[in-house]
Amino acid sequence: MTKIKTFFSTLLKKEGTKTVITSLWCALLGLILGFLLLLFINAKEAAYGMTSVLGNYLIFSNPQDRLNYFGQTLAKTAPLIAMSLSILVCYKAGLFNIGGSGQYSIAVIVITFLGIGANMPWYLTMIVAMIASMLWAMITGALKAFFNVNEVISGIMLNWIALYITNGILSTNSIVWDSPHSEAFTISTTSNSYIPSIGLDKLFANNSIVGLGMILILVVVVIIFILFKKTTLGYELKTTGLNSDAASYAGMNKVKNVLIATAISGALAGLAASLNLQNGFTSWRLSSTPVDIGFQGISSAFLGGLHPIGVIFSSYFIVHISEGGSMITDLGFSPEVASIMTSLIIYLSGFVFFIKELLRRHEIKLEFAKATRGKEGQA
Amino acid sequence: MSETYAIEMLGITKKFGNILANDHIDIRLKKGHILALCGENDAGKSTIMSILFGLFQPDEGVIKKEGVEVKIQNPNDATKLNIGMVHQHFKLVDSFSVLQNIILGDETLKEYPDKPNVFQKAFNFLNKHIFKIIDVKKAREEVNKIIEQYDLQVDLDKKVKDISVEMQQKVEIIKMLYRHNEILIFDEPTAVLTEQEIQDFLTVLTHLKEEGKSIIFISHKLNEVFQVSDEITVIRKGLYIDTLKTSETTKEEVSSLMVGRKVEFISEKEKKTPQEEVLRVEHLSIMDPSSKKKVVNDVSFNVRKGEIVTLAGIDGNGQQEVIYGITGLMKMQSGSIMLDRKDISTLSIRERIKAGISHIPEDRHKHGLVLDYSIYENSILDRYFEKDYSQHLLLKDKNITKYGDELIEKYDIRSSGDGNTLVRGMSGGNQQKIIIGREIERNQDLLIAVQPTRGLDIGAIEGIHELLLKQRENDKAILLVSLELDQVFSLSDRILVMYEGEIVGEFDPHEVDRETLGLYMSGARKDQVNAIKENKHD
Amino acid sequence: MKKFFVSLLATALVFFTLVFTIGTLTRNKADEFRVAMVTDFTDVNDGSFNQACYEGGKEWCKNNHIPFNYYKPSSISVAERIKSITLAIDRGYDVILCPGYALGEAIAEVAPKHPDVYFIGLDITAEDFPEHFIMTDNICVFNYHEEVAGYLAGYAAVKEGFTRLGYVGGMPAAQVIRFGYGYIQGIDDAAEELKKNVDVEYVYGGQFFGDSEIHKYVDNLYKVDKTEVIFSCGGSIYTSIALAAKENNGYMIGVDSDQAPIIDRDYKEGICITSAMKGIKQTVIDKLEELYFQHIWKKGINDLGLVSSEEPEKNYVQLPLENWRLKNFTIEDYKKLIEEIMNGSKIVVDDIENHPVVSQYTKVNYRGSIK
Repeated sequence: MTKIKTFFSTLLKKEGTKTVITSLWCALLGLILGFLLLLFINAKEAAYGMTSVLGNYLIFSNPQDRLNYFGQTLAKTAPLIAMSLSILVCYKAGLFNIGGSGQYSIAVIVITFLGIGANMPWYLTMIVAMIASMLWAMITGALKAFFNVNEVISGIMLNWIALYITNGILSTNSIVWDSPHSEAFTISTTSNSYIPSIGLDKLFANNSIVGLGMILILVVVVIIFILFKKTTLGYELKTTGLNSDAASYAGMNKVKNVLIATAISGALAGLAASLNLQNGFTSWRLSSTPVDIGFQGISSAFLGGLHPIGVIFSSYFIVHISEGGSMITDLGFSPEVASIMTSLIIYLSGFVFFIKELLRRHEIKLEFAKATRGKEGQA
Repeated sequence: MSETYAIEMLGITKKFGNILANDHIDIRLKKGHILALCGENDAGKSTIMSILFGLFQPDEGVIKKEGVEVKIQNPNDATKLNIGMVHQHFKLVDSFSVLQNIILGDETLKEYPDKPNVFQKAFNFLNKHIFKIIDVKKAREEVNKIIEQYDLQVDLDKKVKDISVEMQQKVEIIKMLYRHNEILIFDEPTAVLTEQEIQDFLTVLTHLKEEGKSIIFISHKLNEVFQVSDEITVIRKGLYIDTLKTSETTKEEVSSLMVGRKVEFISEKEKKTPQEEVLRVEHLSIMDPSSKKKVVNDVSFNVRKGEIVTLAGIDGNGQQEVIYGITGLMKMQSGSIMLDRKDISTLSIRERIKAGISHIPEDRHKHGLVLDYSIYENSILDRYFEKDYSQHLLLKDKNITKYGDELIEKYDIRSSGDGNTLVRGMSGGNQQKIIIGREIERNQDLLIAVQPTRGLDIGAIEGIHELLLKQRENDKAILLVSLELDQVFSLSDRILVMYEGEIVGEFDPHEVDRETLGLYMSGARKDQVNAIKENKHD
Repeated sequence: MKKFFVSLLATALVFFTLVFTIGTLTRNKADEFRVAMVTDFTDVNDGSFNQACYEGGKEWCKNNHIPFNYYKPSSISVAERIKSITLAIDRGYDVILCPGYALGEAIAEVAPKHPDVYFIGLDITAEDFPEHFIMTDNICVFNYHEEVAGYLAGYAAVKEGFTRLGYVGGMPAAQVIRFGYGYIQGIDDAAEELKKNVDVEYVYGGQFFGDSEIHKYVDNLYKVDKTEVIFSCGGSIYTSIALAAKENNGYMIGVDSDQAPIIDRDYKEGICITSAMKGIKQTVIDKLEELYFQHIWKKGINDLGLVSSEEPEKNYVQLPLENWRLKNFTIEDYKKLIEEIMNGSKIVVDDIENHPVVSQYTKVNYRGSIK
């Protein structure tokens, strides 16, 4: 019994546990506020509405539907994980990648042309897409490294440039553009560019968007985890991010690190596009604003405590809540209310850092007191 | 009781969370006396003074002014009780003139004199409540009176950013006098001054005392304390230790009360003959990229095995930049740097590290450590690329942990946990030990140490001095940058004085006195030094 | 830290128990007859197609005390539409109204799995269903002769006296093109009869909603091209056109439903001279009525157009008779026109592959798409 107790108390003291608990707190706080919003709009249906939001696919009475939409939620989580990792890699290196949307849409061009136009094998499409968005992201990186242009500003501008390039290139090419429907053709399940299901679709009531992509993203998570935990490159990136003066003191090459960080995060944003489009789920539509996923990735990265493993859960949570949120429009909540509520929950995760900071200060005081007492005892 | 106390603070206790910053501290300041408040860093000196100035509220204890209990809720209350404070970091507005700074917040309003007519009456009323037009002329007269009375010469029309630190301190003093403050608190006032300026300042203090002001003087520099104070109150780690009459005690007694044990003042070091040259800097010039000013101008010197060469000088005279030039953190404009007879002037920082430079940087939070890294991670900051710690792009965790534990053991690095503890939560001394341990263990021919004891208490300073001397014994070449004369004298084999980017003199510590060194540091050249000395003899 | 953890657990426990218990308790699954609607791109308040369908469903259900609701897919993809329909069925709805061609694929996916649920599709043609799809008995879709509605509007506008006309479509979908080409045919016939030269500026917006870019373009149409009246033909794209019309003292023609009341209220009284209406609301009400009371179900694909010249309000394509604003083209003229179309003396072609053939009086300037 005491063993378990000490186990828990050491677990609670760990930095990671702290992050998890703060993240959970943020999520819960968001949910409560979301619930209050629902109560305010329509008190009668608020509880069931919240149940729907939290239940998502569990709300369906038919087990097949449940499986199907569980699969869909998972499949939609994969690209968000990739995007969150993209934000995370840059953030660890001290850069704020707000250009995820732009990198994503550049990858979309490649995927659409190679997938729809050339019917290339899925892995080739994926790799070329990742390279394209990597090069795009390195524009921001190069501007930062060589001319010290703030990456947030160049990232935002490149988002819009990429958006219009994508709109322009795709909508003027009839090979890939379904002009009556004003959207690019969707990659079909029979296409070479379709990421194979490897039988996973059978597990989820024949949901064809579930497939290898989900396993792939887990592998990528592990790679990123190892990058920061075990490699010299990860150590350099982290050092640059946490204290760039110390990094130059230790002789780390800042230009190189900035370029590498943006390159990796660009490739990950490209992977997000690939995972979202190459399972036949959706395609590019004319849009007048940069795609959402680039910004959702930011929330997800923070809610996940800026940890590669944490990001899996936070991304799932965000997708789960948004999916559930779309299921309350018939309960007297307009789609706008539904999306306000989900955004409220998602963006509240920005509080993670605030609360963590408070906790950390509290902790430092304790440590300090301990150290002082220690000295006295010695004297 | 025959003597009246200007201020009494009795049984003051203040807690921050679980930390007891002040534990039943008594402070009694006699009218017209100078009370020195002594203690190491973090002993609670600033806390108790902040309480007196109304910045914090005590948890327990009372404050009495001239025997009457008073409540000081905020600095305004303190001002009303005629308590003034000069903070360690001056509270002046850079872009305002000296006069504006002095009268700021206590403006003398324009007012027509006695028996005003109706219009003048109306003006007086409106000005007092609405317009608030300042009577600059009158204010200037008052300030000038103060300047004359206390002999505090400053140029009232210069902007604060254009005057020296010493002048700024005078401005702060005038500010207090202008507000008719009777009780003056000085928080480490000499930390920013040169030896020469310190003497001037102490004269001012005595002068203020003669004019009947009561003064609390916070310092841990015992020379100064003994020169001016009447009583000394010692506190240690938040506890009240004792109050002594200055005339009845000795420096040794006070310092042992401060640290709780006897401290050796001058580290004894054995004589050594320096051997071959390790570092040679020739005609080094560096331009500041932002101000385009030459911050280092044609500096040449060398450091040999088995000696400690110190770059002494007042902060900001180019010592820092010389080090940046050697380590590669700053681009050099001209000149050359030879390490072990190889020219390293064109190498990158990393290549210079590999060539054999160990560097204890001035600012441990800026350069030396990553605060959000653990002790382990910090221990390999400038050697993670070495074969022992990484291979094929992967870090060797086992070796890193082993090495980190060695450092902790050998250099007595204390934290609340093991080597996984984040450095951010550790005390300054222990943080510094990580850096020093790391750099010494790299076992390079050249060890550069820039202000290695900055912000540390006497106990920690002593330990670090020992470590540096041990390196000297081990035939390492050590280049030290120090602002503290005590340190300069106790460690150096050779002293190079820097002033405005140039080396203005080289001295043997056994053949030079503090005063001369101070004069060099403040820019007086050798001929001028002699002239001043002669004047003194007259 | 422990405190934070324990309070987290406690709060979460209380919150979830509360929500789930109340949520489950307040849920009653009745087996009454229920009607749901699923939208395609825009919301139900688009002031046009979706709104007409929504109002029809809502009105009928309210009169008959039947639960009615609508679902908007969370993003624009077939999978999301399928999810919305599935959710509606799961919540116990028996009739699903599916306005818009984009829902064709979704119906094809869901309908075979739920044979006891009725699917009423509007504006969905055979091409909108997947290839080789065999229509199940529970699907019934309706299409309209939009070209006739467009024809009526174009004819009326020229007869009213306008000579510089414009057309701003949404996306170039079949229905939108039919409206446009019918509009041109009507303009041409009227111009020929009056022997007057007319100009038509013809453009697609590329989307079914208005924004600053569309507004700028339309503003130019009024200002530079001196267009007098513009046929706004694409969901809520009308917002940009109405705004530009208001600013330039121009006129416009609405689409799908009678848009005059909304535009009068939101922009300026009188700028919407008429609307090329499809009887969407009427269709919804009629078909629900038939299904519920008479158990009539016309499975398969049905075309709806003109049915009566005597009572033009019964037609499934028409101009609004209420609040008739045209002065030179009267209701009598309108009835006569309908008769002429019905008896074949005026022919409206529904070809969307080729631009309509026009006489020498009409000059059409095809401008492609704004976006």
